[in-house]
Amino acid sequence: MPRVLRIHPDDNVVNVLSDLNPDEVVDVEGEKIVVRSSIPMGHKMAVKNIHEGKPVIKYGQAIGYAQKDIQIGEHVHVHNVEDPISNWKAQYEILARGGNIN
Amino acid sequence: MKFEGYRRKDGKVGVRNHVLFLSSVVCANGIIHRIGCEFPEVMTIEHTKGCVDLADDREIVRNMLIGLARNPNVGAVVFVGLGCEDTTAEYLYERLEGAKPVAAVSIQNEGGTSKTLEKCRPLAKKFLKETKKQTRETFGPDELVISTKCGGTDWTSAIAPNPSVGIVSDRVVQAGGTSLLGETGGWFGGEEVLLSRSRNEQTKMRILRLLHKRYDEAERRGTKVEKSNPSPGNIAGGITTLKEKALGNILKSGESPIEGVLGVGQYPPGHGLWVMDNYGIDPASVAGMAAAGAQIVLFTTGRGTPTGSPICPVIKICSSPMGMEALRENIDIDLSDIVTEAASLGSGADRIETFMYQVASGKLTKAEILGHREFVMPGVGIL
Repeated sequence: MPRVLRIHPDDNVVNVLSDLNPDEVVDVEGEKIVVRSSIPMGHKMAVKNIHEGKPVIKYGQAIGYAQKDIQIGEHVHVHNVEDPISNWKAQYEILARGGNIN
Repeated sequence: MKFEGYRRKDGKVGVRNHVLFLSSVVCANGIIHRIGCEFPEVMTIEHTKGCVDLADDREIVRNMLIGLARNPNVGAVVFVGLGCEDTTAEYLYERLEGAKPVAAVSIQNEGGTSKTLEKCRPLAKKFLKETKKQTRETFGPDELVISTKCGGTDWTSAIAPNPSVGIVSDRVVQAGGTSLLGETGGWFGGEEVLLSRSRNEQTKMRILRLLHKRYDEAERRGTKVEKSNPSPGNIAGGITTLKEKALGNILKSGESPIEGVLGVGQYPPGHGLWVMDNYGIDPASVAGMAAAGAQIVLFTTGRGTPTGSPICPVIKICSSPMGMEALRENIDIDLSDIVTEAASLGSGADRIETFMYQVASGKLTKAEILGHREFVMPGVGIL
């Protein structure tokens, strides 16, 4: 059974399918990745370096933004990801102005 | 596929034949509770509203009470009120008259608790007897109204049960039936997907307005929606942001086009997929679905949850190995093989669909067997 699950080819994070520990090496579609932190089952691991302010991509979409530089193999969760919904209202206003929404 | 349901006087079809005793106001809860104890087969709904509500909440309460009573799973309904409230039993009675057997009782009219109970008991007996006489008839999926819901979400929800339910929802829609997507507060971050599938500009506008209303209400109270959602359990289960949760959440609605947006207690005016103004916490969300005419709720979960409904069979679908281990007793359909053995989403959908038609024909869900009949009246301020 694979140890990680990548949902969309553009994703820079994967779901881990069992608890992972630091220094373990996992195979992500042929690429060997060294785990850098403890990651509980179902949580996300970075499979690319994600610089501060850059999108965390799952389902092929930005589910959040890196609050600090995240290294490949790191646990990606609430401690290092900002929720993009904080910008939702601005987005609504852009959509409202752009479309037939009054 | 076909199911065996009950035809109502107003033409709608139910999958259960409940006798419902419904409080019009909090002051009638004591009577409703007593009737529920004396007649365990009677479904009862108590709530904490019905008088001195602000206008927006009053409208929600009225639409909810009327919508719940209209639900085709209800074969007969008795409204019990106090008499001096905002939304009286008589007011509700007038709105239901002709749709099904209905009665209204007011404590002030009857002259106290004992006399009200004396009035209610024969009504319970009579309606139970009448509904038991009615037999099921065969109907096709065009008479099916399902609603899709998730709760106790974790990382598995978006991988297996939500997309499997999405396939079932698409199949129901393609067969001429109706599917409702609720949990409006759970769309934040996923709104672009919903907008891209909306039939027309008016639908897009209404979706955005519903989100805007909730976001504004939170800001007015000095907070933000993302401070309440995802929940601590979602976060422990690997969900990081509300957008991540939303993108998984809306998979339950499949890929069908969205016909329009339903207000609280509004029944879909046609077949197809509809999205609803629906309030968050699970029993309030399921209640809103029942009040929009849903016959069955397909409820996905990761961590597991017992939520049922006094009106709708709630089918629990779980694919988290941990959730299954913890709450096996409460889960109807185990899809954990999609996560552990890479079983297909189509096989998950097949299992859900087969079980759903059995439930529509009378098979009991775990929530029904275990006696879960939770109810929360939605209101402004519930996300």
